[in-house]
Amino acid sequence: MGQGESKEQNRPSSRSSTLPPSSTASPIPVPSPSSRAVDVPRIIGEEPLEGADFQPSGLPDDSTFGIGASTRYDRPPRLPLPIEEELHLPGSPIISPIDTQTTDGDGDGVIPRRISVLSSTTVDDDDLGDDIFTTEVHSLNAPTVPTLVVWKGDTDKVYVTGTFVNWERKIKLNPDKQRGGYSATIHLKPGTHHLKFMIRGDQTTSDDYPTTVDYAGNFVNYIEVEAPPKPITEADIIEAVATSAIKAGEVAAVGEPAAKPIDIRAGTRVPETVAGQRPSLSGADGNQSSAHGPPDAIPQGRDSDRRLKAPPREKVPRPKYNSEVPAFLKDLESNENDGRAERAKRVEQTLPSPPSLPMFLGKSILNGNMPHKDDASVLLMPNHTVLNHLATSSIKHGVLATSGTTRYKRKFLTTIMYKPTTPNEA
Amino acid sequence: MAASPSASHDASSHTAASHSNTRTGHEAQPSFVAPSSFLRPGSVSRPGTPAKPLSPLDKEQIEGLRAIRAFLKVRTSYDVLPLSFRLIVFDTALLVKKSLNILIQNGNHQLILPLFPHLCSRALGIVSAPLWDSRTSTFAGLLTTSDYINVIQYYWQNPDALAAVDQFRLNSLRDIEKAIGVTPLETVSIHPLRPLYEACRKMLASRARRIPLVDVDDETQRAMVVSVVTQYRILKFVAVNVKETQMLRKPLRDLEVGTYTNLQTAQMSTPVMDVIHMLVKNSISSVPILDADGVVINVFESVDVILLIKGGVYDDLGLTVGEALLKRSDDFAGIYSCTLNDRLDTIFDTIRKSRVHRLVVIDERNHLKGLLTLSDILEYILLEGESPDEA
Repeated sequence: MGQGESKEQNRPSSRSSTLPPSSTASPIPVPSPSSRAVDVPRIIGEEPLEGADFQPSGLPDDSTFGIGASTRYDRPPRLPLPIEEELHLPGSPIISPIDTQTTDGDGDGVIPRRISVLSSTTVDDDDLGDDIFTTEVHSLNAPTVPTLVVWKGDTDKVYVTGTFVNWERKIKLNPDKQRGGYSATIHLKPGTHHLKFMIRGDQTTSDDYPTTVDYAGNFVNYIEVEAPPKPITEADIIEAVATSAIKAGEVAAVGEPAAKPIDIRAGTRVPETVAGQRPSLSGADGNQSSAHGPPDAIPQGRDSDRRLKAPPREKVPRPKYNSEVPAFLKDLESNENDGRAERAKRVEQTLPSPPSLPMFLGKSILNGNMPHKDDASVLLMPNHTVLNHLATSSIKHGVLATSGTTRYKRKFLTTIMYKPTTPNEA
Repeated sequence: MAASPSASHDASSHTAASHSNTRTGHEAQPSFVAPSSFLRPGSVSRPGTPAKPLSPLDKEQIEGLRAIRAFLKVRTSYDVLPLSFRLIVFDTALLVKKSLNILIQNGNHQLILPLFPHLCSRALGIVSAPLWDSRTSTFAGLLTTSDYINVIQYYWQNPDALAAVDQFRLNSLRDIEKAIGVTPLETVSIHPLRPLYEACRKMLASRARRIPLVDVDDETQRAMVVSVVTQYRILKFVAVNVKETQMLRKPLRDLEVGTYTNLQTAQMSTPVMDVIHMLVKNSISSVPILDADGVVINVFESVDVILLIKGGVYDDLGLTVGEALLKRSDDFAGIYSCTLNDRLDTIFDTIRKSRVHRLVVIDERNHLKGLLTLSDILEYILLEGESPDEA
């Protein structure tokens, strides 16, 4: 999609602000509004591993809670209550009994890969109609990203659990001498994960992470993990550079850190390739040095210089717009029998057809299955591409329904407005 | 406990006098189960009676209430909303009968209105909607089941006006209220980021069962309704997220929650219009249906009114309530009941698992003892133990 390409061009700017290891202000990855588009991989703000070991403390409990029991109470284990089986969706937290057995963090080294169940994933087209909670297919192939989870506060034992472990296990957070509080680095698949912290057997939410309500109505924290970019191969770089001269110029122009990822990922061959292309594109020596020079802070002024020196776009003559209806369109409607209408129709056949509706817009979340049988106002998470579009239903019984989905703070609101088609019936 | 028999007798008779809810067998209770009236400081002065020490059960109850209130004061209505939610809005120019169909259809989870609405007897998904006046571009209140009841009342009082009733639009609802002499319910609203506690207080004060969340759209600077939050949704949120609801272990017989006197009831043969009149006159939301022996066999709820006028046809108003109840869909959840021995912890559990709006309090012979609604529970949670100035 066109959107995907333009996102690629935006990548460097986000890279530049997040890659250097020391520049992240807070250990918590701040989710950007556009991060909901999980299908476009971006770089996250990640902390380098500091040897904070990630020790899952496996609960001795088992997968009887594989079906969605959402009991929140720290009681001895119970069988899943029958009515909650309808919440078969992995989005609901499955809390197995917590602290009656305090296992002290020496689980096995690796948490078994569980389904990372994300209730706010935006999914590929085909999955929209289906249950989007099982993102197995989607995320199994994605590499996990080590993410730091922090609890600030003063208690003796802190654990974290969440959708990344299907709410069945808790991971111990170790005291973090540097930052105070507790932290652990957990390998998370890209996407949104719900989590909750466990302090002395009580599940609580942290004020340091954003909160939300999941499909079962549980109040949880969430973090959004962005996928690391795929290693860019040389072929990709050359193609990116060749297809769009200016944009490649801007890749380097945004700032020195932009050059860095190219260095890291594709080794030394790429900068030369890029640099080799540079002279043909821009003819500026400044570009060459910035493309593969040592990282040093290049002031903003040079960026704009570089942009100016980039070769001018090919001038495509701007179409002239006016408000005269072309003759052939008028002829289409003419009822005179001088053959103009027929000629106009023939012309119309030769015109290119208008673009078809993008696939996402064809499937409204309103027409999909309800994730929650009991609650008619809960809908599936919309793909961000359908936001702020106007949808409508066919007119039945003189009533027109229009709807639109917008963001409301961090949630999505779909408003359906019903209007009569003839408000002034006698 | 050091209470002398005479002192406890005074206390219990005082209790019976000062509170309208009757307690069966209260005097026979052993004194270690302290009545909740003792938790209310300064409400009724009993000179000479020392305050009874609170039992562990009482203390736990107080603790649980405190935790729930603290939760409600921190969390906002925004927190209760699902991640992706739907809001239905009606233009006030819409015909009343069409709005009814739409509400029913949205219970079917479809946007398209089917051609034969009377064949669709699914569970009612959505029972209220904000109204939008497109001429003034403002919000014009909330459409609820009481509006439909008012329309029925109007038709009943003016049976010749069937043609007019058929053409009623949503913007004439206020006129209908005036015509039948009903004082309109004030539509309160609240900003989504205000605490839930405030939303609940507003609902209790205005006797509404739902409250619209209104914010200002930053682009148009106009009021926008974000959602409508119901008492059920808030209580379910509490039930799911506050584990201290499990601390509320005092039985209902020792609490002052629910209505136990002056209960309106009907029989299956009662005309449904009489039942509707009961709903209106007493400002209640349900009427238990008893059989000849006084056994509770059903409850007519105000949302059942929608079934009556579903097809836009008002002929069904001559039915008895028993026949009207047959129109309920097959997947009707049923009537929830409880006894005076039940406690709020189990009731919260029930709220968490199912859509409960009221519980019929019965005894072991299934006779009616009282009615416990969500408003009652909410009021108890919010106001029990607080000093009267805060009420």
